[in-house]
Amino acid sequence: MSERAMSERATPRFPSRRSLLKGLGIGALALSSAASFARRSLAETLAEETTRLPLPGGPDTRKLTTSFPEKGEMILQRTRPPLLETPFEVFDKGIFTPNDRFYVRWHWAVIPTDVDAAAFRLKLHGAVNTPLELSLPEILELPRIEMAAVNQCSGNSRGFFQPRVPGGEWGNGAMGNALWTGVRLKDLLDKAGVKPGAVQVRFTGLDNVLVPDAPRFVKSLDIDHARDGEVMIAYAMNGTQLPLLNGFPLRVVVPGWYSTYWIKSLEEIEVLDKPDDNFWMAKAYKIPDTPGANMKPGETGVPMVPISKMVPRSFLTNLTDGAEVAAGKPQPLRGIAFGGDCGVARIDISTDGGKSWQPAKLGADHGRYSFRGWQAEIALPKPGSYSVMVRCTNTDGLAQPMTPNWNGGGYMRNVVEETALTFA
Amino acid sequence: MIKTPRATLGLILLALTLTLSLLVSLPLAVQAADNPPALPTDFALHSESITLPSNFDPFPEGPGAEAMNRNCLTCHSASMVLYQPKLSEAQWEGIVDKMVDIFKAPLIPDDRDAILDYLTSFQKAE
Repeated sequence: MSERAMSERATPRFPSRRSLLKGLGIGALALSSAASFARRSLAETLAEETTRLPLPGGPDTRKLTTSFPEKGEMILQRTRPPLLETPFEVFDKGIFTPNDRFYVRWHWAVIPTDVDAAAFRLKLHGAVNTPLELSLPEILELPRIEMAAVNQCSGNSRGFFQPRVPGGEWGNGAMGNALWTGVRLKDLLDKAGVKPGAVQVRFTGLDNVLVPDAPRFVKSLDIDHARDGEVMIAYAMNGTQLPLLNGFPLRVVVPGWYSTYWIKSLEEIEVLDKPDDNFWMAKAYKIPDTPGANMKPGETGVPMVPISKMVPRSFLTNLTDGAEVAAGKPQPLRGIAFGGDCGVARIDISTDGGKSWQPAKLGADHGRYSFRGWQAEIALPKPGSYSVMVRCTNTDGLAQPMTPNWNGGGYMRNVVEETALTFA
Repeated sequence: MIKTPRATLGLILLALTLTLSLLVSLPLAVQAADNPPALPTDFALHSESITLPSNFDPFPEGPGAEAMNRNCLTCHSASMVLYQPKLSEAQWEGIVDKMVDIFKAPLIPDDRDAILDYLTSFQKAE
């Protein structure tokens, strides 16, 4: 098993492609120009492949890239700092998103590219009895927990907001589901001994700002949340160590909460005795304190709170918008769903604009924070255009809304998705 | 967990049977629910080192493009700007102010007007 894991790491997809191209180049050209040929053709060929994200009003064309280490083909939103979106067809292939297709989002220009596993130390300090500096082997010796959980960017699907809002203009691919393995944050905090009066726990990663006075990207959780036994410090993702772009060697996992709290390449945990007032908690990632984080464009005086729990979503994955299918025959449908901060209770399908709904069959349950597969079958006797709606109701009874929410940050979109199909 | 080859074979056969029966009874199976491999008990972490692609492609030509190149590309690729939806002049001004006031972009003061002109005109030109 460990041999297999190591060989997977030893042969990441990108370098082997490059070697292949180099090999071809050597056959065709003089040795002196082979390397530059390979480099140029790779960059040029890959840069020309594009995809369309149907964002209202555009721009809707994005490059596809395989130029990022430890990553397969991704939608290139930004090279520096990397914003890479998972192409949506990946979600039809399995309910666990492969590490090499998992979306990537960094805030600041200085991101870790070299981590020495032997020298790395995780620091835990602040309002604790015993400050800790733990090596990776020391962390691996602690009790191990495992959990399937969806990691979703707060602004996933921001590009579909109308009126449009500025920010990372994602389609629906700034999310993924992985099996995370690691240690309970609670166990680390107990080891250090949290002092009475502690109120929050702040996380800092290895990423850093380029301009000295700019606010480093840090996030905090309330002390009770941090000690709930579910918040995890993960060292493995889908059975292998994390890609650097997804937070090697350690990443905070906050099940059911948006990814802004899932600090990557975690190097410091600080127990605070007063609430964190840094920019990223006090000013950024704030949502209207209203049901569904919904407000009217231009509305003022709406109370704002830090974003937190996710809300239910569901997607059809085996047919894309505008697909043609055969009329009069049963049409199989399948997709993925997640409940947000709890499980999926049911998935319903509508082909009449939401007037009537039929239940879908749920796939295997990998825990309440995981993607859940679903399948259904529809039969539409007459040729014509229909749209298929998919609605998830979570185990708390919260269902996806029929109308989209709006807020200036472009956060928490979870409207019932609609896919137009032509039955011919 | 170490399994004997025989037990593994048995599991594979069981999985195949289950898969086949699913294929027969359902028109379209749900997504592969393959569990990622279990982590070995002797799992260890190995140093990682990556080289990231560096893209300093300049902004499309136009009045103010040089000011954009001088002031914006240090921290982020041009695509971050070019992929934004159509925004009003006030919205662009708010974004430039945020870059300077909060994210501490060392903007050359004389370039500010040229940057705002570029931002508000490149979208109209599309």
